[in-house]
Amino acid sequence: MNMPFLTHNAWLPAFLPLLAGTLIFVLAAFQRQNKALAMGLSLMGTVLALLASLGLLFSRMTQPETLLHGKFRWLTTGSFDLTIGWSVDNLSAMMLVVVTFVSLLVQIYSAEYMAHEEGVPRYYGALSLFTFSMLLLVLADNLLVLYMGWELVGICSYLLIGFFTFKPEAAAAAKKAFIVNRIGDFGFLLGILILFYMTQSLEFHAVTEAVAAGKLPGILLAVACLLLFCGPIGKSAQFPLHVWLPDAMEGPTPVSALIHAATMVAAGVYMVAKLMPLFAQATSPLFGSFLVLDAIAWIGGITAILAAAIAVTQNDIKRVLAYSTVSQLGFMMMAMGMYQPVMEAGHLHGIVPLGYTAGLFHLLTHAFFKAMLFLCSGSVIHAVHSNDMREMGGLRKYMPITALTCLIGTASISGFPFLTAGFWSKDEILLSMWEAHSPLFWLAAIAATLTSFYMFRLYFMTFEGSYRGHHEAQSIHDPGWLMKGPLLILAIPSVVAGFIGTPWTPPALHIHGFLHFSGHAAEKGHEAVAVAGLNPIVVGVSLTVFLLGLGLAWAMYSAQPKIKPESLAQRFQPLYQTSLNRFYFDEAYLLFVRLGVMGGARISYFIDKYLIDGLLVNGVGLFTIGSSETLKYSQSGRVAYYALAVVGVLVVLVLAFIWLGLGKVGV
Amino acid sequence: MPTNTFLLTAILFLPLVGALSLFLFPDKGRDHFYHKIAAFWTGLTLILSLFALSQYRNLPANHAQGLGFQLVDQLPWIPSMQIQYQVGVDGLSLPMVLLTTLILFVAVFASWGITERSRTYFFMLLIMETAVLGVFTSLDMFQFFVMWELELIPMYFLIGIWGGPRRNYAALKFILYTALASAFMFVAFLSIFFFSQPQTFDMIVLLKNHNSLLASLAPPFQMMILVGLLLCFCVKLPMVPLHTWLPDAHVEAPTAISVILAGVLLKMGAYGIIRFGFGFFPDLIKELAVFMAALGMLNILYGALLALAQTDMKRVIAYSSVSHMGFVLLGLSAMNPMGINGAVMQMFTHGTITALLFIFVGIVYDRTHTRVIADLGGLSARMPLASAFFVIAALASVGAPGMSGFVSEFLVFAGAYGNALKGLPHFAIQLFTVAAALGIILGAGYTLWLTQRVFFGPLPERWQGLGDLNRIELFNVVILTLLVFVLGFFPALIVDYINPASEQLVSFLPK
Repeated sequence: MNMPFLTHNAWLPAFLPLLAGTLIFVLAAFQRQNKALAMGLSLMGTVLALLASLGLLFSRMTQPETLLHGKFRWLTTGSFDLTIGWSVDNLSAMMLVVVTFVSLLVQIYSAEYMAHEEGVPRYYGALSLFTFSMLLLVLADNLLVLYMGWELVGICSYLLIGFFTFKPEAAAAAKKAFIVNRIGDFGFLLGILILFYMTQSLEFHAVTEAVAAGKLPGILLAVACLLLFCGPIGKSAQFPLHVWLPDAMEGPTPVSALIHAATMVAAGVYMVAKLMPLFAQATSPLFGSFLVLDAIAWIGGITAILAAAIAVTQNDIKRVLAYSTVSQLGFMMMAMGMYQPVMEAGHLHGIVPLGYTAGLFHLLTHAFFKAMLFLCSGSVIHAVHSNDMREMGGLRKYMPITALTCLIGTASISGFPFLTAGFWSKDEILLSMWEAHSPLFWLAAIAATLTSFYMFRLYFMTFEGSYRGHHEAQSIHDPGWLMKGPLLILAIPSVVAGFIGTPWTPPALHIHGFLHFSGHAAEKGHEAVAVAGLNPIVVGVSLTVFLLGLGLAWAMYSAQPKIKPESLAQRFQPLYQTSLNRFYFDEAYLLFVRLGVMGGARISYFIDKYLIDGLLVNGVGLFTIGSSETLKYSQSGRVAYYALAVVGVLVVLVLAFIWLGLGKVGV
Repeated sequence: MPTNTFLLTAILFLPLVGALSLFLFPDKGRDHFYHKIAAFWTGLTLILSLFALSQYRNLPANHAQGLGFQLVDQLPWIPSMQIQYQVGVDGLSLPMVLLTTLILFVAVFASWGITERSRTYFFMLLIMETAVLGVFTSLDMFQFFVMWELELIPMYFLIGIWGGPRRNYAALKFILYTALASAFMFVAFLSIFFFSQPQTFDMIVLLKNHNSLLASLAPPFQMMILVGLLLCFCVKLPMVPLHTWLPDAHVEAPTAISVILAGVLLKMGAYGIIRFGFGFFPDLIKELAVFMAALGMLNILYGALLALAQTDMKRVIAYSSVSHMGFVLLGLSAMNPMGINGAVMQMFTHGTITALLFIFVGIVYDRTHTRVIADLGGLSARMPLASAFFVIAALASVGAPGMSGFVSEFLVFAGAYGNALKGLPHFAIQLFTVAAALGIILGAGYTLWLTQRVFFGPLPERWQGLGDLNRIELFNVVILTLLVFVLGFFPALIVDYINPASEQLVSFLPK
């Protein structure tokens, strides 16, 4: 592709899938169910978007001085222009490639996975629109466009979770996902309103500058940042809004791989990174000495451990992966919240983020191995027609490729030392926490142990031992090449993507060189602390937790278990039940909705019906002209006459004036 | 004075001519004969209004030259009482004229199922179009009042004759509410005439002299007159707690009448608040900003809660209208261009989106003969196209980006949060804005819950035979959907017209 054209039109990657998605939907409205056409358009849009994204990434790597941004006027209000602005920095260039790459593989995979479903054009149309929305979010140069992309990915997610419209669970899950996300977006919107009002600007750069110039009082900035962070709490399924993501597994599995593992749910982490120049300035303590970044870290920490503790007892293969995603996103958030205070004369002068690169590194590697794991689960479900791991087992014999890729993914997410991508990125996160002297380090270590345990539990229950399912075992086999291909392709970055973050990586290729944080504090001369390198203690902890989890899973779920899971569950019944029932979050929220919201709605309706309308309106009516509902039937004649009289008088008045008027005009 | 072009006059009276033309043709039982005639006249009016749009020059409002009113037609009417025939449009009324001609055109097609006394039905419908266009274009207070009252009569009969089982109650409630409220307007208009210098009904002159309106009255009396006037408009809006006529009218009215009611008639109230409240009494209205914000918030949240509690599909949409019109009040309370732009755009947006939703209620009702949500479900299996478009409409209603509702809601929120007041009122409005923003959660709740219960899940046995959209329905739905998308992607297409008018209104306001 012509480079100057591309660098001047950096919006192209987002536009192409939009075009494809729109065409698919318009064609589908006229000519139903042309699967091949829809697939072709969707794939074409995504391939071109991937090429454009690669071009932009290449431009960022080779000519960092070329700015890739632009904008157009959206509307003018007063004398203020709201603009649609885009820009590509290193971070967004990386995200562009990740999104289009995973999206392309998922679409190829879907061609086989969804071949026998109804409504394939709608599926591909929504996938294309999702890709567009996600790219819009990534390209956004201002808060408004970010928010638009943010809402749009939520809407596409709604459409795709609810793809099987006949399934009541799918429809309910889609609605739940949307509403829970809206709760987060409520905060996000308020944060935007505060920043917009105080800085009179929406562009990231201008807002950051205005904040640096002291346009916002410290505590208001902190509040605004916390409100903004509500968005990621919803979108990245962080505690306490994590409840929608496991339900979202009602959607088709490839969708789970793309949206609910690799891209959309990572948008929260991306947003925090993008707004880090802002968050890092929010140094006004909230309660005592709590900063906004601390809040981010602790929310991430709680999420990581909570989701991991739920994942260990789930039996639905997709739900294990879903909770694993929630937990891993918690890891990324924790990393985002790591910082080193910069003291000047005994006062907190600023903070330098420590885990910024680590969190994004994990986002990158996680996108590959988690998408792969979901696609693995898809081919397993496709083969055995069940989501329940208790009805699987021994599948390695029947589906060796799926088993191999799943093992690679499991090793990577669990942190198999030195060879897998997950090891390096998780090690970076742990290292940043170690450097920040955060107590969350130990929490993260426990969560990492659980990760290793539940992932190997998943692998053992699914692929080792003997087959326990009801579906004919002989008919189980690896899927065709359209599904196998993406699995194998994703296996490569699941291993090698880590090598951009090792101590032996040349600086030119190192992720720390490409994605370092250059915010306000750093500009002021406080060099960001480089956290590359091996810390023996951190590596030791990494190794220990990996082996601990693996060993425990081996002892409980291998072919000849040393410890019976059932007896353990018996022994720790309350703990087991709490984990199995997901800490009763859904029940508590349901109770709140039933009693709080619906109760409020019913009370409002009672007030409306019996007090305002019944007592006041009809009462006034009864008192003055006898038009209450009860009297209406007995004395309807009188009321109708009254109405007619009103109308009649008006008509006479009008006619009289018109006649008068016409007389004067002389017609 | 500019010379008359008679373009607006033609737009205004075409529907009336059409209404009379219905009686030229005897009823010989021809298939949809009067429907087609009505479609012709409303279509012609729509085309003419688009022509008016092309003739309108999008200039900044000019105080010296008729305040930004264009295409002004002026004829003497009752000179002895300073009453004249005067029409014209500015950036505020032009979008409303286009909305009216579009919605009425669509409404004719939404009336395709009307078979009983169709000649009288379309006669009423066309009369109503003239009346509503008269409200939006009149630049003479007396003429405005006549048009305002004229709209009630056909509406009364349209609900009372073609309505549902409780049509008499609903029609009466509608007319009593509105007629009583217009008494306040009558008093206010007469007071403005008698207590102002110069004594005139000419709105352009009055707008230019807004500083001396009611100058011979003490300020408390001025305020009383303004509040009375606003009360009249707030019934129409409708504002909580003056809203209870709306759900009843909606539920009993035939589909097309609901479409017009929600799509156009409610906007008359909002239009009145802006034209008279802001235009005539800028000093006084600014003192009411906090109340407007509080009531706007109440409308948004209370309307949304009521929508959640409904079991009838049409009532859900009706109460969602109450909620969405609250955004108009909230936006106006901002007293800045952004908020007013948002409010006016919300008027237009709500007109198209709610019209769409009511059309869908009609589509479902025509096939199933029920609107009880619990009886429905799974319709997407038999009506994939209808459910796809309904989902679009629902998403538009919850303010999805890329659709026009997002733009107006964002402008309202950003405008109200950055409101032009000072001190305590400033913070109070900010607080109300924050509370009102909860509406985006509740709105998603009732809208998507409705979608889920009507269109998704398993299809009950008895709805197996339902058919998808027919051509006429598809035509209606596509027009409105396209408009929602176009304005969502390119809001400048409409905001560029509204903005000069908003800036002018704001320039009237005290600093």
